[in-house]
Amino acid sequence: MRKITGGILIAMLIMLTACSSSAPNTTQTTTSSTTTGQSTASNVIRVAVQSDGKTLDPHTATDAGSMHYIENMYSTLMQYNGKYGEIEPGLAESYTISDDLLTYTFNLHQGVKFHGSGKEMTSADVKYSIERIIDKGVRANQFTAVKSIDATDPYTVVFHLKQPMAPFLTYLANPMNGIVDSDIVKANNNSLDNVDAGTGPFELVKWEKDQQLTLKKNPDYYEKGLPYLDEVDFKPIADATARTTALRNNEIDLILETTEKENKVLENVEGITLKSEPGTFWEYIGLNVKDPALRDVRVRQAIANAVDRNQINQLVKLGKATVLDGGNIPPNHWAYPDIHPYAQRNVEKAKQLLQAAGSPAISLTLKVGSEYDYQVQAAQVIKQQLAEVGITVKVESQESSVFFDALGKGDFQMAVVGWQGFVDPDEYTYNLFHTGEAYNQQGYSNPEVDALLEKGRTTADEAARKDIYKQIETTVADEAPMVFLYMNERAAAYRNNVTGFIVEPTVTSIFLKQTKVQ
Amino acid sequence: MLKYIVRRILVSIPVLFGISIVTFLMIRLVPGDTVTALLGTRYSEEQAVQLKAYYGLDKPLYVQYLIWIGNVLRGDLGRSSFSGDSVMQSIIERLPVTLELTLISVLIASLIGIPLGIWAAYRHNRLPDYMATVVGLLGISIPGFWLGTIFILLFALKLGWAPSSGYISFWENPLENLHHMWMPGIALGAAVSAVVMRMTRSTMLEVLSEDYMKMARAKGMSPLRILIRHALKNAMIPIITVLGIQIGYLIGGSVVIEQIFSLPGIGRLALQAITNRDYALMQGTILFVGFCFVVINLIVDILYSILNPKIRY
Repeated sequence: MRKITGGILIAMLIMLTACSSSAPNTTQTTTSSTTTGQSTASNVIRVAVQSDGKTLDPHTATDAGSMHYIENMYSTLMQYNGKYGEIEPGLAESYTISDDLLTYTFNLHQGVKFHGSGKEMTSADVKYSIERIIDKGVRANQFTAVKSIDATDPYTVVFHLKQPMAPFLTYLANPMNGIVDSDIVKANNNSLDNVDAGTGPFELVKWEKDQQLTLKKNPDYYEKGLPYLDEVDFKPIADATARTTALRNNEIDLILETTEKENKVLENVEGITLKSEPGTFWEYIGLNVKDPALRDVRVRQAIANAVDRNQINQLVKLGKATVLDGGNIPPNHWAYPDIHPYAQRNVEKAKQLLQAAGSPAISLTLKVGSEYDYQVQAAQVIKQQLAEVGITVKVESQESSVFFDALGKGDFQMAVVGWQGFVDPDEYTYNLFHTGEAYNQQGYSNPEVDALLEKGRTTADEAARKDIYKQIETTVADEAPMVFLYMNERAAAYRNNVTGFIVEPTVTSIFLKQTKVQ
Repeated sequence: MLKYIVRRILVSIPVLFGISIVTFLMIRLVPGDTVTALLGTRYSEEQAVQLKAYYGLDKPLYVQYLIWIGNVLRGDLGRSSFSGDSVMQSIIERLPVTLELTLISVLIASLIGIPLGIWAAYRHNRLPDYMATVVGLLGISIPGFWLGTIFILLFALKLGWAPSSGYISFWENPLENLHHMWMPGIALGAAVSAVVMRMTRSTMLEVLSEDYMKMARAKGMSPLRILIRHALKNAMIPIITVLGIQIGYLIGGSVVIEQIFSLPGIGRLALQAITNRDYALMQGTILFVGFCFVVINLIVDILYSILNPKIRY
């Protein structure tokens, strides 16, 4: 027996050495002031996120995981001011706009320093950053109106536009349009995937993939007195039970984004605050206008009338979402159109519309991404509801990558999808409803709506814009290329020693510079 | 023996080539690609074409394969299309976590499975046997994600015996490391111990019915000596085989447990690679796991000859 156990042990040892000859060397030697479960430094917040970021490059990030890190590391020319839809100067101290809306002049804060290098941020970096965003492509469409950028002196930068662009300042406030240190970018072969080139409230200490991203306070941050925290530890915890347990066990202080199920678990737990705000993530049924079965507007209207948004909200979102019975711009937005064509489910009207369209009984396929279980559940409820008006729905749940591929190619009849609304009403509408735009997967096309969308972009006056977007939303709701369902709430949960944490409506927003831990 | 080992290593080369081709083709057969995943939910055709050219995905499949395998032969597994990290580096960083998890669960499996299997065989068709069978059945049927979740609720939340998630390197703090690892280790080891127990029980039963066992008993040897020295040693070969296969599976297959307990291991890396359609990372990870499988099989074969001197290569 001794020989046998010895044999097993030897085998295991051989295996260990065979497979991991260099394993011990990979351990990080950097010392962090915290370890999981216990923080030694007092002013440290431990934040749980659902998934690790994929990159730290603000100009290429597309996933929420990456954005949560980046928004705390970078600053932007303009910034969100805490009230949804509004912005204020950030790295720019002040700005002027010419009367023809074609020239924007920004005066920069002086003495703003980049992390690490300590180099002062100047207009050259601003010019470089915006040109890099255009070059990288991911958010280039926000700057299509830019003709040229001039760094006239170290603290003045001038944008010349080809045509007026009303959301231009809002785009500059998008936290992913951060100003980067051109030297660091060049030193890293134009890749910021793993490095920090920002001027934000926190700077990168280390990133152990899938374990922890550690940020420390930027002592030179240009907004004096901020941030309050000395250190932020982001910990990706994929499993919801593990996340809520970690919060209850004081292994973490804050869950940045909680799901409905987590809220249910944490609702009545002592010592934990659950905070929610109306968010900007909305869900809808996309109807492929180019599909023969859905080409007739009456069929689409029938579907819009047959869907009981309240019931889906109750069953899938536990009644926590805000039902969208008209357009997709939410009630807390200045451009909210306040229209309610689908306030009540109308089965009779739906049946009449189908009758009039000459298709009283049709069969449709409804695609949904399997990763989003609440959307799959919504699809099942929709199937039931449409059955009552004579529409037979086949739900097809597909792996996300496959699903989005089909969506991109217009290979669907109906699809339940979620979409992140950002800040400007243009972002809620233009890319989705303008003929031929990248995200107009429904194939919707209406010359009047196109003209209004273009007008909305180039009009400066807010009241005039509100009116334009009301017309757009009314037409789109009526012609139903999308059946809007609801706007989700955005919630976070934290231990009661955390104060000053603001739940922002959008997925990208500066979270932690105002936050304190006692 | 040395000749045998060399021959086995040579034979494993075509096996690894086979794995590389299958891996390469499999991920490309799945609809959706790096570009779809990289550009997020929606994208324009123009962007997609640009990115495809950037990653060389516009080239014919065989050219893509040749480029990749050429690099692999030079020791370069490529770079992740998402993080830009070296694939080799990513695997090496995560390997200790998965190896430790595997080691703990196999140790647990051996410590529970083998004695329980022996006992069940020795008390064949009596209470201990029935009990062991039930335990074995439960171990195999309970899914890892359920056990993991229950463990978190019980040991982390109710009893506070272990943290619910996270990982500390063994070299940084051995005690903290074990504090974090025992729970996922047991959760993962439960199913393996059931497999080991059943295998031990059935092979022991076979061996115990052999004539030389009667002979040993007739010679008046003590039951324990018979069990351990004569029966178990002869029953060990299938058990070692099963353990070897399980180790192979665990290195690549601890995905669920790593996900639940937020452990930064190979399984989670592979899962991300698949959902991101990160071709280089996925090919590299699977090829690596395949390589481990081959190495473990070789070790198992060598162990046979130690266990049974009659086996000579």
